[in-house]
Amino acid sequence: MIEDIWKHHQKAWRRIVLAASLGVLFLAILDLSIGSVYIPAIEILKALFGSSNNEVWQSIVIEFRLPKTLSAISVGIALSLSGLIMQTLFRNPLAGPFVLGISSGASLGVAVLVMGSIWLPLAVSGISTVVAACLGSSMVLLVVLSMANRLKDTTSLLILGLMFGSAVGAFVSILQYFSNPEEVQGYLFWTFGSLSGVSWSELQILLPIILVGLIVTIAISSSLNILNLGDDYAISSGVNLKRMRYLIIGITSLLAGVTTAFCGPIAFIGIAVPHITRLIINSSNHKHLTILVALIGAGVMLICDIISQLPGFAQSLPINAVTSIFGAPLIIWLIMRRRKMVAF
Amino acid sequence: MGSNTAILQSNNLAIGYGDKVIYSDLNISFEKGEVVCLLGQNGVGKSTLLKTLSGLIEPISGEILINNISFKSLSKSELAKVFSIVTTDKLSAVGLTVLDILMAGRYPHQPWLNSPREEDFKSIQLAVEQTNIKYLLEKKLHELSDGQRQKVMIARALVQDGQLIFLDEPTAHLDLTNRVEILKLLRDISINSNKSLVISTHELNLAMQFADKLLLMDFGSPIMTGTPEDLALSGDLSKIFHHQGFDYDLITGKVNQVENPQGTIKIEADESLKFWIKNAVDRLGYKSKDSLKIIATTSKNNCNWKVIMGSNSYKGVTIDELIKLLKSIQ
Repeated sequence: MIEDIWKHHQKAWRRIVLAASLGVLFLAILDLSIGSVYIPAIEILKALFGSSNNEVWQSIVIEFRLPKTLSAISVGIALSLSGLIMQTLFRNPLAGPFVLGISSGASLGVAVLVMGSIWLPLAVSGISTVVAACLGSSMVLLVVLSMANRLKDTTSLLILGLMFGSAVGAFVSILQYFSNPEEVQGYLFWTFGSLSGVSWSELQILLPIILVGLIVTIAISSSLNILNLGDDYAISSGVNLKRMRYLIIGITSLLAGVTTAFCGPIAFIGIAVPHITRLIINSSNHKHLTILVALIGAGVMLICDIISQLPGFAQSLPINAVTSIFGAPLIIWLIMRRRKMVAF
Repeated sequence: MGSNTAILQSNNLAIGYGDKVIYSDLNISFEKGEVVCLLGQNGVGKSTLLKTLSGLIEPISGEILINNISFKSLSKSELAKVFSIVTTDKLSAVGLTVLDILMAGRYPHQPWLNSPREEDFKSIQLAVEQTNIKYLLEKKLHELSDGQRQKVMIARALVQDGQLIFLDEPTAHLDLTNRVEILKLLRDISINSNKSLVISTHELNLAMQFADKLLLMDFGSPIMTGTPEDLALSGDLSKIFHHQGFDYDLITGKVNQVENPQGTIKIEADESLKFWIKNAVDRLGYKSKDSLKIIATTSKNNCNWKVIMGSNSYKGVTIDELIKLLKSIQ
């Protein structure tokens, strides 16, 4: 009887995963075909398999659009997953890499790297940006976590994240003040967020890290379920709480840090996608959530990228503006119905 | 107490938070299949003891042995196979179904990433039958009533399949019907499954009816251990409950309010009249230092009474008048 119920749920979940995967595939192809030139879907598929007759299209798809689509998918997965595990770690529905100032921490790391050449003559490269961003994000996360253990309520935690954000912003302003115009411009462009700036060689760093993050999150999904029940139940069920906390901090800073390093601080995906997913499957069982959060994260990011192309226009919008325009109202809506939100 | 049969044993254990020692030199042992109640007022340290014994708080000094093996040499997952807990946390913000929670209870037994196996389903099935929560399986935890939630958490503890379950105030926040139901459930578990239950409670009735062994906890005195009956007869039980403003009635096993330590009221009347006068006096809560005597008789369905207090005496009819008099005396 128990087994039957379980199998029934499992089957329903598999159907949703299948549907979500097909959705992501469809959006990816759509994302690849839209841009300054429209390329039909069938040509996209041909180009992907290297059999396109149109050499220009072939090179547009492989050299420009595929890296951008892959980074959209990666960023979507990374930010959504880090949002999910942070909401579980903090037991707080409004936690997320951006809200808690983790992305600001990563920005600070990058700002110091890009504009701090007066004090730290560092080489700006893919790897050093990643390291700077990850250092910045893990530093902020550690501070927030140590404080969050003392204040249990949502509001204080959010205010804390806000304060971190503005403190970091102020520090970045000081850096900008003392930097030369080129450096400031470089940093500003980075903050707009961009998926198209990621090259194939940078994807070789980004993709494996996202994959590791995804695998680890799936591997700890049963522990995350127990973490949801509270510290006492987690410890007495045999979860090594300390190790789990550090693991979650590690993955979150890595995922949020690495995406922020390459694509700039992208807001709201981390907090919004776990909620959208929970609404869809009406459950917060991490064994079911994790993969779906990754898929829906990828899908949402692809949609944002498609919107940012402004189909029909020659221009495109900064990706950060798009995620904020859609993300902010969602968060406002979440806060408005927070009193009813028992199942986060 | 043979150390070879105890599931859990403590040697010279000192418990508390930080530097603050609440109890020291604790030598406790829990035997197989035994129901042990930690009995005492709120704030006396029941939860601290329970949390220390279940590994949630570090002891200040001393050691705990689980099946004769030192607590410290066992990993968290090995410990999780020996005992499970039911806490007082309300857990309303969890969007998991009851089945999800029971599945999570199998955590210490499941190899990494494996889907549930035959034995996991069997164990859950058994716990569901024992706690009678089949109809709740697909409900969300936050949709349950307090009593239902408590049953689910007890089922979760059963699913973990240890030898011992710690329950922190399992009947707190429950209404009378649910309280009785949970107690009955716990008793059935202790009889049918040979598991040891360690229950913290401030409810004397629960502990007296239920426990094979009591750990009596009181502010500023060492913990007393024994069967409920021995502790009642030795007067230890009434000592603890007496200075709380209650008196433990040795004959009926009930707790009575004592608010009149100095003055006594003696009632002379036939049985039914005596009962009702006593009822009124108890309700009033007589607080005077002076002893008094009430002599009453009934005639024509009326109560004629006489109150003698020292050299004064008063007379009247009806209990209402009597109450007014007693109030004026106080």
